[in-house]
Amino acid sequence: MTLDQAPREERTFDAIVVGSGLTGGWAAKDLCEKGLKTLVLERGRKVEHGKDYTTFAKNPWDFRYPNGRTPQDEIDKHYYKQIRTGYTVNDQWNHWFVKDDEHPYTEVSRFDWIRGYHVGGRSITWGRQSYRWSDLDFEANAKEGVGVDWPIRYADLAPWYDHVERWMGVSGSKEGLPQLPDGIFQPPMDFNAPEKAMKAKVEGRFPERRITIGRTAHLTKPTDEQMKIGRGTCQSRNLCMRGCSFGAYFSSNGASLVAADHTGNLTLQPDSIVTEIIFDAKLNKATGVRVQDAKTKTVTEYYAKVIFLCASTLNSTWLMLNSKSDRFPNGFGNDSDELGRNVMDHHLGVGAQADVEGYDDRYYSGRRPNGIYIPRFRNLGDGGTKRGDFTRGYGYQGGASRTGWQRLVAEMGFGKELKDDISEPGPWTVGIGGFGEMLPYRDNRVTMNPDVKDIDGLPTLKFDVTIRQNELNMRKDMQASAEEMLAASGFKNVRGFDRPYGVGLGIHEMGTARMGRDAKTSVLDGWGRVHAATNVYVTDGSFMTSAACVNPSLTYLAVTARAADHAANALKRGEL
Amino acid sequence: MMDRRELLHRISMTLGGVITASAASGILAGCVATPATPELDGPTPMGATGNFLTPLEMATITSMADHIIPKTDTPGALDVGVPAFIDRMLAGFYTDKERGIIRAGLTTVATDARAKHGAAFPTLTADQQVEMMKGYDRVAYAAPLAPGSDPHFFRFIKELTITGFCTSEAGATKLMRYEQTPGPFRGDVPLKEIGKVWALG
Repeated sequence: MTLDQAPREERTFDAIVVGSGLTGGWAAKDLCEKGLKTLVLERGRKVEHGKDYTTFAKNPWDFRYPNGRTPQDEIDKHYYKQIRTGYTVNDQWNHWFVKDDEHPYTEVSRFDWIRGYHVGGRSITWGRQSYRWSDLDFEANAKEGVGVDWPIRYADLAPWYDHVERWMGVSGSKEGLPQLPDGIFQPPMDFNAPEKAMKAKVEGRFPERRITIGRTAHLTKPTDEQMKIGRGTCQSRNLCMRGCSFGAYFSSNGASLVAADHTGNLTLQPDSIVTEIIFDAKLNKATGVRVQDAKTKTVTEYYAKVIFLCASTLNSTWLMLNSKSDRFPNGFGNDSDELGRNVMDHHLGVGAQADVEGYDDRYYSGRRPNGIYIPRFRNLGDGGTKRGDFTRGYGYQGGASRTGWQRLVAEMGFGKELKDDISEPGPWTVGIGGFGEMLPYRDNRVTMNPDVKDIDGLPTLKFDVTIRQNELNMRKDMQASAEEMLAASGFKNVRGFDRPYGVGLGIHEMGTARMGRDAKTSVLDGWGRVHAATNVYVTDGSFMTSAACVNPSLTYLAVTARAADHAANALKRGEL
Repeated sequence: MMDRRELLHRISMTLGGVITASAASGILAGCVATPATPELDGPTPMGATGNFLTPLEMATITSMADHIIPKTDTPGALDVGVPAFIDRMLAGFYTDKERGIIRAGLTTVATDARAKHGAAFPTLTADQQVEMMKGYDRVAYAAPLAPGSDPHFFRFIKELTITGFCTSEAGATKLMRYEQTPGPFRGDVPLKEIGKVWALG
């Protein structure tokens, strides 16, 4: 099993980070900057910032089919699950997503697992929306007796939110809302004309509601520190999912791994599938990991004093479930039997659209890679916002824009008149869609399925996850409130929608190794350490004890940064 | 609109230069004389060429695309290679179901042209062609397209023509404003300043 290996000392590091996506890249940066020799293991191929963004400079007519559209027979063969989002399958960025025939999984109920295996992971394709949690979120489980209590509060994370926002760069507007704490922001992106009108009308009519611009991890006024690692101002291409050679949005490839590399402490090893965590029952610690080479299937062991699991929620959980030993017969650190349970996402695909009259002489310059944001306004802890039909809340994302040539396909007529219309911007339209909090349910579960193997010959996951009555009731309100706000804005032909939703469609899967105060009912402690093996930190979405309703990545990063600091200090004190 | 010589040239070009203009002329003559010969009306075998449309179908699509987005002081559908684009999309992108909609539609056009004017569609006068197309357009847009239902063939041809044109370099840069890298976003500017629609939404 361990043939052809380099000497053990060459395979020994201070820290091992499993995964090079958003949290893995950040863990690597902070650990390397604190002086730890760090090995980052990535299951997928190498991706060099800029050089490997192969579609970055392509025009619509440079693709084999217009705008990169992928033919149906290829979708049917390779992307039959990845297609479910409606936007991830396209030749512009198919190379950032797995092929479903190579990486199958089993669905007892529909589950949309949208992901890519390569250096940088989903930090290349993420939505970049970046919001802080508040104590409304951290205290909710305890107050309502749902799941278990979070072992941390806003005060624990606030300095780490600062640390992350300052370094990665978040553009946004300060609003002073208790449910959505302000952060360290670069200048906000602009509203367009109908959005400005909508903001005034909605805020006038509904004092508890606010319309702000999306808080997004794009540089609008880069700092010297950001420019020093080659990052620049957002050029509003809105082709972000191709990869950004300007480094204008935050990714591992363009930022954290660059900084990690500059320290001289980073070893980044692609094509390395971590299949097991090696546990020493005498020391009560993990000593390293077992790695299968993705190309040769050779197995090699690597050792370190501290291990960070940042492989993405479901893959870190897979790794823990696959790491069985006499001490952990049900999976690594799984004394509580909570590993793989409490799967959450943000339920979405519900909201409203409308037509906008007027503003014919107004337009915008560039393609804003961002939208408007309407923070949560339900169940804020006061009587006025309390709902009897559901607990927690939701926020909306959306915006207004002018239609282009595509509208002409739906219109009668042809000839010179049609041709003239091609050059004219069409009417404005507007839409908002909700992102709702999903509660943790113990029987929403992912388990190992040894009967279905992936292209690497490894067992795969089986999903049995659904939304329940609280989410269904919330969705009704999400649609009704969206219709109500568009109507109050004076927009016409308001059309609500509630599209079929499968858990995972939000691509915010989380919660399968939750944090808690009690080792009997949770997998991780408040530092993100495995209760039963305290030199293993799990800092991707696995740790989430509840979901809140905001995009989760900023919170993953803050927890990762806090954990990296904790691990480095523990190492310095000789505790690891 | 173009004259017959121009049309012949275009057909030979859209067929990838594999036939000469005189051969294209023969095809058109054939279309008129013996519209049902299998060489002209049967499906082109898929494979080596990757083409889908038969010569008659290609000639029909060429005439229609020219009427849908004509050349004016700016390029039209034929200047940017829309017929070849449509053939390529049908051959490689779409499924048998969608190919069937186009093939059945073009068969209807051929039948209607013979019944009404006793000739193949590509050989009709521009007025005759436009008149027939207006009829198809009215039927195609009589009701909004229900989600999940098949589009009328003429709507589909229009969609292909508009898409091929608007995603071509000339269409995007001469008829619209195209910037791959627009620079920092400004949210509320007078339309006058931008001038035309953005090619990329």
